[in-house]
Amino acid sequence: MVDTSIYSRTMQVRRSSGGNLQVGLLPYSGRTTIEANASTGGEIIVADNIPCFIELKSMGRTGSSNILPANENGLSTWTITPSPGSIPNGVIRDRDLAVDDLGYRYELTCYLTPMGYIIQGIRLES
Amino acid sequence: MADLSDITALFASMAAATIYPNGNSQPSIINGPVKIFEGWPIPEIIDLDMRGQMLVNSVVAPTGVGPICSVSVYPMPNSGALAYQILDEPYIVVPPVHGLTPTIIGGAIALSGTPGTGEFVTLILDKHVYSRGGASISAILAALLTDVLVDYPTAYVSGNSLMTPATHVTARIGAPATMAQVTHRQIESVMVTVWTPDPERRTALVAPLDVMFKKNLRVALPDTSYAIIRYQKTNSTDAHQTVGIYQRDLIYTVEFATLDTFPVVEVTAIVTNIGVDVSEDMLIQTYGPTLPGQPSPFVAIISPVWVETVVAPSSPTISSNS
Repeated sequence: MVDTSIYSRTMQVRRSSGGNLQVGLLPYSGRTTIEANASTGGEIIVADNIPCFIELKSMGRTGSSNILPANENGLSTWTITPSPGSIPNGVIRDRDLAVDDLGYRYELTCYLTPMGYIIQGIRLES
Repeated sequence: MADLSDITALFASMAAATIYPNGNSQPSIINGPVKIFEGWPIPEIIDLDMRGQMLVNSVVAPTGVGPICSVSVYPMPNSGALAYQILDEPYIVVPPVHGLTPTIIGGAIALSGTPGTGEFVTLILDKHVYSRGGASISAILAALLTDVLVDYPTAYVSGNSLMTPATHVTARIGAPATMAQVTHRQIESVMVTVWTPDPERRTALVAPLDVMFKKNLRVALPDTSYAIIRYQKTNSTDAHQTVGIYQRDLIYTVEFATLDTFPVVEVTAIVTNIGVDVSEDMLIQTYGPTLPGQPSPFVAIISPVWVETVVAPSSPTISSNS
């Protein structure tokens, strides 16, 4: 039973498709946020409705080269703690993408501990 | 119109023709799988490809076909250069197609064939000009007859012929066409990058690609304009060998045109009226159907299909260049 007073947030984990054995002249290569199956590009969902706790680890700094002029902050880093046992071992990989219940997107770095996954996410904002 | 996407697509197709000369279903020139694409590799996927691995339900598994090399085609950022601008004349991209053939005997104009989309017939009877199109010969003749009856009340249609009492008869066929004009030329750099797990495969892929590009230095694009390719430089990178990637960039500058393509119709008659307008000495009128979105028939192509006759009492003369 998940304690929703602690793990009050949810996230979905996605992965860029395209890792298949098609060779020869292929369609344009690049990530898109379009949800798709593995054969058509876009993102596939590898885990959904994961109860989690999301907290700020570090604010982004100004001066990043990829922000728009009105932005005050660069990309921030967040710690995402899924509820114990909510993600089977091996499901999440580095560079997977998370979308939280508020619609924010993160690129993930993760590692497995005896207490479950510890996930760091860079919030992806233009 | 040609733009940068057409150029990168051109390089990708030339790369595919080089690496898979017999199609994707046949072995590549390195006897191993190669991905060829516009854009940039997705990092986690190229990492797996270089090791001959893939993800199966989030678990890394062997591909069974060994490492998969990649060839990416990407435009170099900040690589634009000023190109010499050439004032170019419009030219025909898609010529008009004539399905109708006119024949004149005396004052009778006979039509044969089948009208294409937008095709029309212009008649010049003495000094009167009539121009009509239609889905069939009978529809065209019926429309023409309505106009002709104003000046020739005894005219009538018989079968595929319009019978008139006119003494000087000209019939011309017009049809829509497509023209284009180069409005600008530009220069961009395109980088063709070969990603392989070892230097041997890198060499085996790069050399034939370079040969292919350099023997196609002037290439026709789908919009009929030409791209001019010039070799610029090569970057060879071994810095990523710890992650199993050997990389080489072939960089070419490409000069290509921005092509403005527009619909036109053939001019089938020009009538000059002296003193019609006090502000102009001469008024030139053109006859032909107006295309959707065009304010008036575009004066561009003089119809080469025409027949003309001057009726003499005993020996009518028929001439034709169609």
